[in-house]
Amino acid sequence: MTLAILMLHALLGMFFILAAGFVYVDTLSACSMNLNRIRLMSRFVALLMWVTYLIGGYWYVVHYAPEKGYILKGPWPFAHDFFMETKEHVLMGLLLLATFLPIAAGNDLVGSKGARRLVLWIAALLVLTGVGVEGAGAIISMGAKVALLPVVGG
Amino acid sequence: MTTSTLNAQTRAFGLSAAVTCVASALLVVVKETNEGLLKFMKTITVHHWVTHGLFAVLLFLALGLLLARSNNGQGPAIGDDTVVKAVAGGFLLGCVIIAAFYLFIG
Repeated sequence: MTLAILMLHALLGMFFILAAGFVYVDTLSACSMNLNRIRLMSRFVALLMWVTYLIGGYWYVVHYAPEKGYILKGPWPFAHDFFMETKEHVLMGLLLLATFLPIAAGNDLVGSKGARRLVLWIAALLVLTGVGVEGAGAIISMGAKVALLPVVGG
Repeated sequence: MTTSTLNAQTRAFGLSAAVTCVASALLVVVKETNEGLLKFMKTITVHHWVTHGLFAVLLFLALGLLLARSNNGQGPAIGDDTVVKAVAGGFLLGCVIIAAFYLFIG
C-alpha cells in the first residue's frame, strides 16, 4: 500500500509536468479558439500539483522515516541530505507557482503580450522544476535501494 | 503612472508568490540552524514540514489578498514586465537558496 502511494505520487507528478507542458505549448499560439482550454488546463495543473503534494506529503510524514534511516546509513546519504531535503522544500514554491497559474491564465492571453509571457514563464518553470524534482525522487529511491542491497563480494 | 495589462489579482498574487518563495526559503535556513524554532514548528502540527507548508500557503494567500486590495482596490501599480521578473526571479532565488543551503551548509 505504501509503495502504491509512492507510485501514485510519482505518476501524478509526471501528469503534472505533461499538463504544464501542454499549457506552455497552447499559450504559444493563444487565440480565442484555445483560450478556454488553456484556462481549463491551468486549473488542472494546479489541481494535479495539490493532489501530488498532499499524497507525497502524507507518505513523507507517515512512511518515510524508516527509509530515511536506511539511506543515511547506506552509501548514498546525500540522497536524503541533499536531494530529499531540497525536494521537499522546493515543492512548496512549486505548489505556489502552480496555484498562481490559473490566476495568470485568467487574463486576456489573446490581446496581452505581458499576460502570455507570464503564463509561458510560469509553465516553463513548472515543467523544468518538475523534471528536476522527479529526478531527485529517482535518486532518493536509488539511495534506499543501494542501502538495502547486499554488499557483493563482501 | 505604471500601466499594466494584467488584472489586480494577477499583479497582487504574482508579487505574493515571489515574496513567499523567498520567505519560505529563508525559513528553511532559519529553522535548520535554530533548534528552538524547529522544535516549535514540530509542536504546531505533526511535522515541521507540515507547519512550513501551512506558513507558505497562508502567507501567499494573505499577502495576495492584501496586495489586491491595495491602491484603492487597483492592486500594486507595477507593469507586466515587473510581475514576470518578480515571479520568475523570486521562485528561482528561493530554489537557489534552498539548494545552496543543503549543498554547502545543511
